[in-house]
Amino acid sequence: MSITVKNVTKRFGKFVALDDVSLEVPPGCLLALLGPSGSGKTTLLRVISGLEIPDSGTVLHHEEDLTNRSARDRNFGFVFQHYALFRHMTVFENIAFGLRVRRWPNARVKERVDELIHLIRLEGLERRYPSQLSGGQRQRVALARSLAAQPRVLLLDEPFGALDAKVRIELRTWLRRLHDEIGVTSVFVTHDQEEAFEVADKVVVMGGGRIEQVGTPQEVFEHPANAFVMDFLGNVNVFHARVHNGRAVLGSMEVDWPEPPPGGAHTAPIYVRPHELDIDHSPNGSRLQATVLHINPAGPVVRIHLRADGFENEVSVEISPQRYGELGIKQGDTVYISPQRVRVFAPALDYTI
Amino acid sequence: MRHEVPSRLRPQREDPLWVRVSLTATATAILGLLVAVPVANVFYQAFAEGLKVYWDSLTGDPATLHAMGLTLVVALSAVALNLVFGVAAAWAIARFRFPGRTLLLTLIDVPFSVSPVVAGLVFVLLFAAPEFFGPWFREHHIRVIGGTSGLILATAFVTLPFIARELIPVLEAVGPEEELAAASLGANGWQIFWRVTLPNIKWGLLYGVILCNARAMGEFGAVRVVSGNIEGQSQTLPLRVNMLFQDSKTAQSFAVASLLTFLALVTLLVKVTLERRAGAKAMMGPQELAPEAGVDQPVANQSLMGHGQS
Amino acid sequence: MATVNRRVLPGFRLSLGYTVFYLSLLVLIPLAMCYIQAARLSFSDFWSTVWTERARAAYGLTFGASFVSAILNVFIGILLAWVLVRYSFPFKRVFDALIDLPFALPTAVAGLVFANLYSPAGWLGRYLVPLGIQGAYSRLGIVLVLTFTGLPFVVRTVQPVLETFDAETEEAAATLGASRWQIVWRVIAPGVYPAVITGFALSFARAIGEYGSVIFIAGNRRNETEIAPYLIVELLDQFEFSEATAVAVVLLTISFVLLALINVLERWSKSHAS
Repeated sequence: MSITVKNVTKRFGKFVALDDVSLEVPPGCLLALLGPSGSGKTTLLRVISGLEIPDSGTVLHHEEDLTNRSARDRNFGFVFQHYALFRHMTVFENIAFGLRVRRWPNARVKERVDELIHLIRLEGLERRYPSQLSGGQRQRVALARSLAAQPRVLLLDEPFGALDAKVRIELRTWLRRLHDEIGVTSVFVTHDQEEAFEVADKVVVMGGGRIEQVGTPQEVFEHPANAFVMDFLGNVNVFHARVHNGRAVLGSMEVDWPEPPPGGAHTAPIYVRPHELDIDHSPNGSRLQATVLHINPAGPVVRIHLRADGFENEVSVEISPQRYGELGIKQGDTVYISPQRVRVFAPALDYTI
Repeated sequence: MRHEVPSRLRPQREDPLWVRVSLTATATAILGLLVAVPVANVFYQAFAEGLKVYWDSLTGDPATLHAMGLTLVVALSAVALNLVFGVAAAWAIARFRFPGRTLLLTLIDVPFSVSPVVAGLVFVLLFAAPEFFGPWFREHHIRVIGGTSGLILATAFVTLPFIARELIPVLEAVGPEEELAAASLGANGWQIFWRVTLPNIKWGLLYGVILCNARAMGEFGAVRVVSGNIEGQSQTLPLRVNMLFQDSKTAQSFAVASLLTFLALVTLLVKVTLERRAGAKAMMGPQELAPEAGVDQPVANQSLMGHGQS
Repeated sequence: MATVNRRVLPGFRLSLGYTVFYLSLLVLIPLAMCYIQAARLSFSDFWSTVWTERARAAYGLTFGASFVSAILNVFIGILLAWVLVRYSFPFKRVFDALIDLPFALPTAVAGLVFANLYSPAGWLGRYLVPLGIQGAYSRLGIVLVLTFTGLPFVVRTVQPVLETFDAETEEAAATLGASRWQIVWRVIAPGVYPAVITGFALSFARAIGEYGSVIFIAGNRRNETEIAPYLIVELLDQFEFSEATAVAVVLLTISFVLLALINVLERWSKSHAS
């Protein structure tokens, strides 16, 4: 394994940032650490990089124990969220820095820096200073700088967080292509699910200092391990369905529910994605009745907000513009919804229909 | 909270004109009377007996020439000592958190609140009073009291806080990100300091050094106590001013004073220039390079809280 | 990230070690010596030294004149800060720089020029002396020169606080019906007074220790125009080390108390602001 994190714990005062976290990063993988703020993803990245030393646990690289080695000695490239470019040095000198501190001869330095400048498509800007570059350009320089000394691992801390939406998307694609070209093991931190899904080979969902699930983007989205993961990734409706005789019922769907109910609950939370709910004008069996509150027709999907009878939370449903046109519903209409697919997370149960 | 019109201009429309004019006029009058007039008077009195007398006072009097040399040696030595200290203290305090940090900050401020006369006395005690180190120093032929080393120590004490207090906010404003980046790129401590930290703090450092130097050269009370005030031997420029004044050699006294005043004016000029730089940087487009607090504030403003030489 | 792990950035032990070493050598040990020397006197000896008539006169003058000058600086300081922050006028940069001049100017020069200005033949003295205002060789002179040296303190403490009041706060008050004067009194003043008090304390502490400028203009007459620092120097010149040290200890202790007070004030005023 390229990077192995074993049972790492890190506290800041009373706050537990990482709670007994273990992770394996395969060589050549582009891995995303995804989670809300406070989930520990940045701390984990910094522990891997050596910018933080864990309170307990180990960090290995190809079986080599790096836990107590400082960031200086690991040769892991690190890209900071706010670039941390050396403001008094030109683009060229910024990229060359890692080489100069290793005392590379000038000719080799120039060769390598030129190579990287070409890679990041900033030819002609070598003599500029960071303050004369746009945000996207600065980020590319930061990336080139960290790649110059051929690190074994590349770590990126919310690399596109400080950029405009459009630039973010451009750079995202560019990072993916760069990784395909170079192939260095990379780990990046993001709170943007779309970004993680689009760029990464594997996604690690984190919450509260723990790893909740590891898998490909499709795996974690289609088969979330628990309610936290499902809730964090994309929109989700939660129906508190009544339990009868070991079954929870939602419209035409019935799910097993443990008897006696955990915590003595009389309702079971059933998770349904907005695009997995169907809308129709006729009840047709055991569909749920609902009133249309608000329709948002702008965009690639049409979002309809409803109040379903018997449930207090608002329900949101996503349908294609085509289907919306077919249905012709308006605000205030009574419609009928039915779930196509539901998920239940219960201890000892945990399955999907 | 910023508007397109700098908010500083807007209150002008709130205060009625007569208020603004009278307040500004009063302020200018007070400042003029209290500060500008004295400065003008220094130069006037210095040249009162003509250019030749002025020139002779400065170059023709061996005691005064000696005082210039001594002042330079003492001040530059004190500044050098405090420079090393200032950098070390700023690095430790601005970059790290450790128990006793606040205490350390307070200790650095101590020389500011101690009367310079007391500062001088303390060093006299340490080296001249027979009970302490006096004999040891005499044995090793180090004349501290009356000698240059005593002057340097006393001056270093009184000007100790300047460079440190100037550098600490500058280092804090710059932030450790660039240094961390350099570390992650494999740089060792000295490489980080010379290549990354120093270029980022150079203006603050320059101002701190210049201010420290101005105060060191102008130090009076501590030096008066520690030195023997012997003409031609252990007098610095401020002591020379005093002696000439007491001997009623007014024009000469003012001539020397004009030198020191010129130094003060140069210090202020440097400050204004540095502020303009810092202000210009703040207006230079989108920057994540320095957090707003560090760039908007004038480089030198913070250091002006403190005490002076007496 | 403000907090940096000391194992990541280098130089912690070296820089902290040197800092503590230097401070001990140059500050802690010498000051401790002062107290040690004073402790050699018995309590009654100590008391009789620091409480002579001459000494009392010196304390009274020192604290009295410092207090008056600090009060003057409060009013002048507020005025200057107000004008500086809120109005624009030509030569504002010169104005700003002049405020810092007393800070950069050697005190001996200040003393010299004030003594000259207010003497009967001086630029100002020639008008003031006939009016009975004796600037030179008097207590008034002491107050004047202490006001000069303490000028920047109130201004520079109040200035940043005033700058935080942008137009919006006052406009809000105006829409709620406050008159101009009420806005100043009820909105601005409460925010500013902690800084004013801090500035006063700084100015006061500075004035107490002042020596160089005062001795030119005071006349230094025992029991009349002799300040405490001058007394110490006189005692030293007569080789009366113990007596000088005793008085110095008094001043030193008051300095420390003031330093602690100023720290507390600064912290209070910061918490007040946020």
